[in-house]
Amino acid sequence: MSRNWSNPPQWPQRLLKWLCSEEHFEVLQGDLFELYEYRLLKKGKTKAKLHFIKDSLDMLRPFALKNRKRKLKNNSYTMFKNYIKIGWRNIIRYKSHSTINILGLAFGLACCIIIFRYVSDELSYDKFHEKADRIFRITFSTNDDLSPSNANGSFGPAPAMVNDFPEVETYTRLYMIGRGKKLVMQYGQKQFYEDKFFFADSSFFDVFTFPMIQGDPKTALKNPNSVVISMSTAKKYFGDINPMGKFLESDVESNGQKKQYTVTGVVADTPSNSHFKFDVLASMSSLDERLSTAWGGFWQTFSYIVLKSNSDETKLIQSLENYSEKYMGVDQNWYQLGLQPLLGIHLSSNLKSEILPTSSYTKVIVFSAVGVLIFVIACINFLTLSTARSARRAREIGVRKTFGAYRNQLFGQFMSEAMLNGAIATVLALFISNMAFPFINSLSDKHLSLVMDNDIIEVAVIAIAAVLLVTFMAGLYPAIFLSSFKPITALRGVVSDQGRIGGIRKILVVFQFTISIALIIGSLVVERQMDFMRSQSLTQSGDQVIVLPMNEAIRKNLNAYEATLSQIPAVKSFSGTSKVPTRGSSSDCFPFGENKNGCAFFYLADFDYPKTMDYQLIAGRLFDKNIGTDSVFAFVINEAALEEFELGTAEEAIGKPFARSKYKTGRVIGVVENFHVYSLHRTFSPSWMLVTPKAYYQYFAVRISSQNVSETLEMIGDSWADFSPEAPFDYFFLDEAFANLHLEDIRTGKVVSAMTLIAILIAAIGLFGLASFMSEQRSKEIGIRKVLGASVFAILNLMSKSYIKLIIIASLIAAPLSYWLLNEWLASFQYRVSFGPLIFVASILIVGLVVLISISYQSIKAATMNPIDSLRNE
Amino acid sequence: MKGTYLGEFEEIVLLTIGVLQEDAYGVAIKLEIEQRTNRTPSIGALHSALSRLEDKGFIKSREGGATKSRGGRRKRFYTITAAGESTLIKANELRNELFKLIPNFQGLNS
Repeated sequence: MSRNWSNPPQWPQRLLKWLCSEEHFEVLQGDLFELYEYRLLKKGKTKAKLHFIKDSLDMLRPFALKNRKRKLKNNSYTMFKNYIKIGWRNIIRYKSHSTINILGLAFGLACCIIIFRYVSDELSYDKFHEKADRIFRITFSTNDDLSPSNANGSFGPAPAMVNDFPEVETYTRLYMIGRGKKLVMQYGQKQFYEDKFFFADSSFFDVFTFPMIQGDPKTALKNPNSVVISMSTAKKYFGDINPMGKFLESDVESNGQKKQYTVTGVVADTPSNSHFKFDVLASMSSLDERLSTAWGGFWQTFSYIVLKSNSDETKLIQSLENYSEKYMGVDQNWYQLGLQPLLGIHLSSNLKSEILPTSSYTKVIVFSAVGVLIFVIACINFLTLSTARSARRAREIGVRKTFGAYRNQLFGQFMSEAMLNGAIATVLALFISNMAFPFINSLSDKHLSLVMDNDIIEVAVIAIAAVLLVTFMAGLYPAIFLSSFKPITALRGVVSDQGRIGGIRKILVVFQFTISIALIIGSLVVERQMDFMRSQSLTQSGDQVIVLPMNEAIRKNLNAYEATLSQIPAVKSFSGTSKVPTRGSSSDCFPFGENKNGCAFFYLADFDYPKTMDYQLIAGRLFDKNIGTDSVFAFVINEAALEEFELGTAEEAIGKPFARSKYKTGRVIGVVENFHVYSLHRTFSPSWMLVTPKAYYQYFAVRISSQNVSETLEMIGDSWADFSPEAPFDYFFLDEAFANLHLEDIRTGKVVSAMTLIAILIAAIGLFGLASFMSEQRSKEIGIRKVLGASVFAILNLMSKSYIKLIIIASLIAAPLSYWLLNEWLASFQYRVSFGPLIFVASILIVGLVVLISISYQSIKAATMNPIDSLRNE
Repeated sequence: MKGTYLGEFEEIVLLTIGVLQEDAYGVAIKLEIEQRTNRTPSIGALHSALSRLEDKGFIKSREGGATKSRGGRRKRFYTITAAGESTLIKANELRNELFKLIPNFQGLNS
């Protein structure tokens, strides 16, 4: 029996020992052990452990429990029942007060639950791979500081490293064909665009852990022209037919020849917390072998290596320093390799050409912080309201104390009341968050829900934790405060700060306002930055640029298609091009001048390209069809390129020699203003354009008037269908593509805005409650004042004065705090908005307005009431 | 509360104790029931039933010596008492009589 022995978990045993009567404990534990051993042999360790836990908990039935009769005689149990009863009656009696308390807490908790799910999802990226902590991605960079390192690079290094370094166990590479280029796959009559298409090495499933449903993970990607598809892709093409061995047809290399790919495996859909997602994986061996061992350049290839356990990656990174020289020659030391841990990709990678947009630790921290703040605001509501209403409970406390209640018993009473409120709020919060998750998912493109992976127990643990947290955060202070009353004063009903905002409550309200103001300032600035980024990518004339990915059918009849396009009146200008900003842009580095390397993005395009993109000319001229030499060796460059290649001022640069390579030399004919190539987190990149033969074109850029866009699109689409009946019409707007680069930023902005709204709402609810209570308490004072001739306005002024003071104090704290935090955030953008005092003033006014609205409703009610009613009411 | 009524699951447990004779203790009873009835009672439910049966006086228990396989914990063995036996017989007779009263129910009347 001792073979394969592993101890059952400890905590259920301790629980059992604690709760079980001694006469039963030994026998029950013995049975549990025996069953555990039995299951260990039959079902393995994990299942045995789970069963052990379940069985242990299941043992806790009445027969086995300690005899509690003696304890039941103790009246604290009876008293506890009484506390809950009184607490419940209080909730029912003061409905509006309880609603405010509980709703505030429920919304706060719901936010926390959602943020908890969100953050734990962010933190869980790529952890599901068995070898996750040993997988590294090779990063590629040029020696210049033009742009951050690339996540992508060339094919050669990964296999070479396995040969050269003993600590590298294996590797796999992913090759995306033409980023953003969609390719059509076909089975029978069914054809779809596939944009999550990768070529992958046969070792793919050895490196990554994706459960295979059909097929052999070891061999599925071995043979040329085999594909492994995801479950949903299999459903899409094959429905209920078994996809194994079927053929999918596609022109993947877009050379006009369709190839047939055999389906050799089906895998479960990529989990949403993976840094790349695929629908189709084709075997790397389908590609030309020369390609798959090449060094140099930045292909859309992503290389991953697995290190042997216990090997030191820092040593390996050091030996990569001049590694490329071995394969590329000594003068090629601009091609730097590095390593990046797989688990760091989602949150700390800041590389160019990520497969999918990544997130950041900052964001995780911001979200967590916002969640905590909202929760704190909700707790403060509970706190201020409970203490403010202490007068109501004073008599009860007095009576209880007179009858001999100890202070700690009263403390227990108010804690259990807080727990009751917390429990109701938690149940509500579970419902609210459950309803809110679809909305959050649509904002953030995640698949979150209250119950993840059918794990009810986890939800129960969350709920219990929430109740306990609320009880202590919100209940502790009121319980201490209320239980401290002296019986005589309490019985007389005199409680010190009746009707006014007492000291500690003042601090708390200021704290709430501070958070609210800071959050509003934050979300306004974030919103402005997002607006700014959107406006940056628009053309100066206000026209829209749409981009059509080209296919073989169009390329064959390019001249005729261009003729049709020029017939459409709303089309202002168009041009074929090899790349467009945001998509497939890659930089190229080449020796320039004497021993100097320069790197730049380049566009091999038609004559009208700069005009179509609306690039503003600074010096020289744009391409001209009538000048013959323009189609051979004329370059149009941007301002950043002037600096990169040390060409002097724009005017000086005109006519200077410029070269793409040794073989392609020419002169600069024009300089245009800088334009964005990638996200605004980066500086403007050096770029140049060159007129080339049409065979290089991958895209069609079309500038259209911003009026009647949908009609224009329809016309372009019709003409597309005439030339390319097989592949559906596909296009994207350039400004949207830019917006997509900032998707993560925009999503963060939206979520922060939503959270801010909730935070303000909760704070407003709390203030409303507080104000209504205050005016109720001071109704006699108001009555007397009115009798003595006070006007409605004077009373309003009286009631809101103290709040105005608090807002002013809060603004003085919030403004510098948020100014400092936002500057930190904006520093991550190369291009950013400035924000002046206006935003601060606006935010403070918003909070002030919310406060005024929530207190003036009650105040006006009190001020306009007939004084007789309040005075007579004795 | 403590009647002499015998529940369905209790009856099965009682019968199984009878079947196992000298070797009737928690896990053994559970596994025996699993084998014969195709249902998997949880060990907690089983002990709960055993404790009820003992309260009703149908079984009695004694503690055995420590064994190695259970981490040194003792087993508690159960045996049917006279009262348990007579209740089982009564239940069986009652059932048989009722069966006989059903006309055309030949399959079970052999």
